[in-house]
Amino acid sequence: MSSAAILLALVTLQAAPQEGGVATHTLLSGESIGAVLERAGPGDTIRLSPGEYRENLVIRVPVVLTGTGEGVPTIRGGYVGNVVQILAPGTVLDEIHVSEAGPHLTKDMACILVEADSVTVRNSRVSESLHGIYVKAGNYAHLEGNLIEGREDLIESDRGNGIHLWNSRGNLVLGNEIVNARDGIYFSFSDSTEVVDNHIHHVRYGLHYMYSNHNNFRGNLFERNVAGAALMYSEDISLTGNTFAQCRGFRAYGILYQSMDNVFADSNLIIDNSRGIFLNNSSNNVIARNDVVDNDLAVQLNGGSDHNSFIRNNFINNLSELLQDVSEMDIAWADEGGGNHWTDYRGYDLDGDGWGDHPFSIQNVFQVMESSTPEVRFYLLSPAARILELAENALPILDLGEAQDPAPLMEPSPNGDVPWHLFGPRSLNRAPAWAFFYLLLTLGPMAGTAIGSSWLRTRRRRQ
Amino acid sequence: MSSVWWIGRQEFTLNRRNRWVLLFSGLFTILTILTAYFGMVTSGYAGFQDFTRTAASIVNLAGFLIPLFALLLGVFSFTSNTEYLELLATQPLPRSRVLLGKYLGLVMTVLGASIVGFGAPGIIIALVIGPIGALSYLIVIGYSLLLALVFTGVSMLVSLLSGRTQLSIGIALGVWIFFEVVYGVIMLGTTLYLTPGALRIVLIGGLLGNPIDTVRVLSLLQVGGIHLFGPGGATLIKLTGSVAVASAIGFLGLLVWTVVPVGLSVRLFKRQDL
Repeated sequence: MSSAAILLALVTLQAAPQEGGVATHTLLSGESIGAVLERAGPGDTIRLSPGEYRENLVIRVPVVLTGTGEGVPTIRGGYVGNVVQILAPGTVLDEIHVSEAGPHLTKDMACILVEADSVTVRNSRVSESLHGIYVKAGNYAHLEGNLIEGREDLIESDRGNGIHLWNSRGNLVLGNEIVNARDGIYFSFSDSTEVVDNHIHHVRYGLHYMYSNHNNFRGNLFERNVAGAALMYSEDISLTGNTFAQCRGFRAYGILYQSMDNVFADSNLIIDNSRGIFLNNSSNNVIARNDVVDNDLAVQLNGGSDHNSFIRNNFINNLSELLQDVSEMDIAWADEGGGNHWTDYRGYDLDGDGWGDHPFSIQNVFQVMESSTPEVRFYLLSPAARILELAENALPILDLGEAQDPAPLMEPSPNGDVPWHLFGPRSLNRAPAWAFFYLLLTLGPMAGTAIGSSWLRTRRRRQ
Repeated sequence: MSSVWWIGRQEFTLNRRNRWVLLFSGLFTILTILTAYFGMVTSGYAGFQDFTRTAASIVNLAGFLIPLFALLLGVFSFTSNTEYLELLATQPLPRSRVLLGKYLGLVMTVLGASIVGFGAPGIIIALVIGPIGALSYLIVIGYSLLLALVFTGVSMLVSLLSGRTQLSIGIALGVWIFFEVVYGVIMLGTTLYLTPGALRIVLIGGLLGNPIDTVRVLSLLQVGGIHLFGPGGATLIKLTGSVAVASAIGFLGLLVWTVVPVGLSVRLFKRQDL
């Protein structure tokens, strides 16, 4: 009791002069933040000196919790419960490192649990988290510039989500980096939220999504996840200028739609995934002006996915373009402004209007066979498969379904807003050095053999 | 063993002076450069990590050229210059060594021409897409060179069985077309007639029945990964356990495809009245 009194006295000593009822408290490493919170008034600033603070906080009055600017203070929860629980609307966390949340997923433990409106968490770091930042029934949260790291020591299904939004609306999630979590950003019953310029990688689903409507996603980079975005049971979503890259595996997708309506996907880059775009039981979606590049399979459409439109997308160097589990689907592959650009299109444009003179059958005969027998794919790119395609083109006898682009674009559509700058040709950097090495590797033995054999010949002649 | 090496070197030297061999290596070079160039540079998106598509084109090109070259070279070597073969057979050497020596020499020729032919395009690839691409390319070429071992053996068997030049060339071309095209079309044709359970075994097992298919799938497994094959890849893992085991089975298949024709040729050549 007496030691707490001394501590209180100490804190009071360090408190800066009051200005209009708002105090600034500065703490040294190891001092109790909880004790300061007990007596802090609304709007007070609590400045934490660099160092460790081992406690679990409950913030009941709106304060600004921040570092001193000399280094990042760390609040450690000791793997028990939530580390920072925010109950006061308008609380701000700035430049804090929050770590060591409890490990029980069923109790929704989080490093930062937000249960109030208009809470800001910015420039902070979350590590050893279960859920990183959990916004539970609080609205208008502002999460900006945070780094959220999941626990790599747990198996994926035991980890929590980077940012978990539940029953919440009007949030802004801006410029965060999320890594090694289960799902990057999880939405459930959370509407009207803006998710902008985040970088989410090495998680299960970059975006996991249930029953949440009217949300916008702009300029995010999702890479090396199991799925870039798994959108489910929601409507009226907009995805613009995002990158979904390098999702590789048997069940890996760039973007997955499950029972989604009215999703508008524009100017996204979907590159190097096992499957680029996957639609299941999803209707009235527009997928326009995206660059879909280097995927094993560009588009997969499963049952119930009618009334979707794919226009002005560039389908470049995908190994296969389309897999459909039912042959007839009502998909618009073009509108009055033309269709999509396909590197697999082998047609010509004699009238010079920029559209191919023949429709592009998106599924070739090989892909039709593949939809019924997946093992056929081992003969992908084989001469036999190619000959079958050519024969089918010359003598069309099979019904290849209705998947046709009636106006394939001869040149790639100029989709200027696709964020190529985030995912540039990185491997170019050291090319000259490697080319030289390779030159040595190939020409060296050749020159060696030539010189060696001529030397042998002259020696033999002398003998 | 040194006699095998000696005959092999002799064969190699003879072949090296052959204008056809030079022509073929030139053809290799030009076609591979064209494939590499049009595969990557003209797509307008040069510089990607994902090299799978170009690698597949190069696998196919090598799968076309190397077997054709090996078959024709072997057939010409055995049937056009029979006096030389007879002369060798009169030497105080077991006939198996004579044959193995010729096999070695022919394989060296095919490998040499292929390395010259596929080496130069590697420089372009390394320049355009860097180390990952260059490594993938090396793997693809390395695997494709295994076809030289297989089809040189097959060419020996074909020439020893038929004996006459024209007939041998005809059969060799027939063998080539069969493995390039007909086999795959038959395999794809089975999808119309078999049940899904049987298809699984036939289509995956059938890959071993054609060394060119084996090499293509092995290369794609290396360059593109198992996920490239989608649900089919999952079946392969289920059947074999892992990619490593599946690849080992593939290499074993290629070994059988090398040893059996050579072994049969040795048996034939031992009993043959030249």
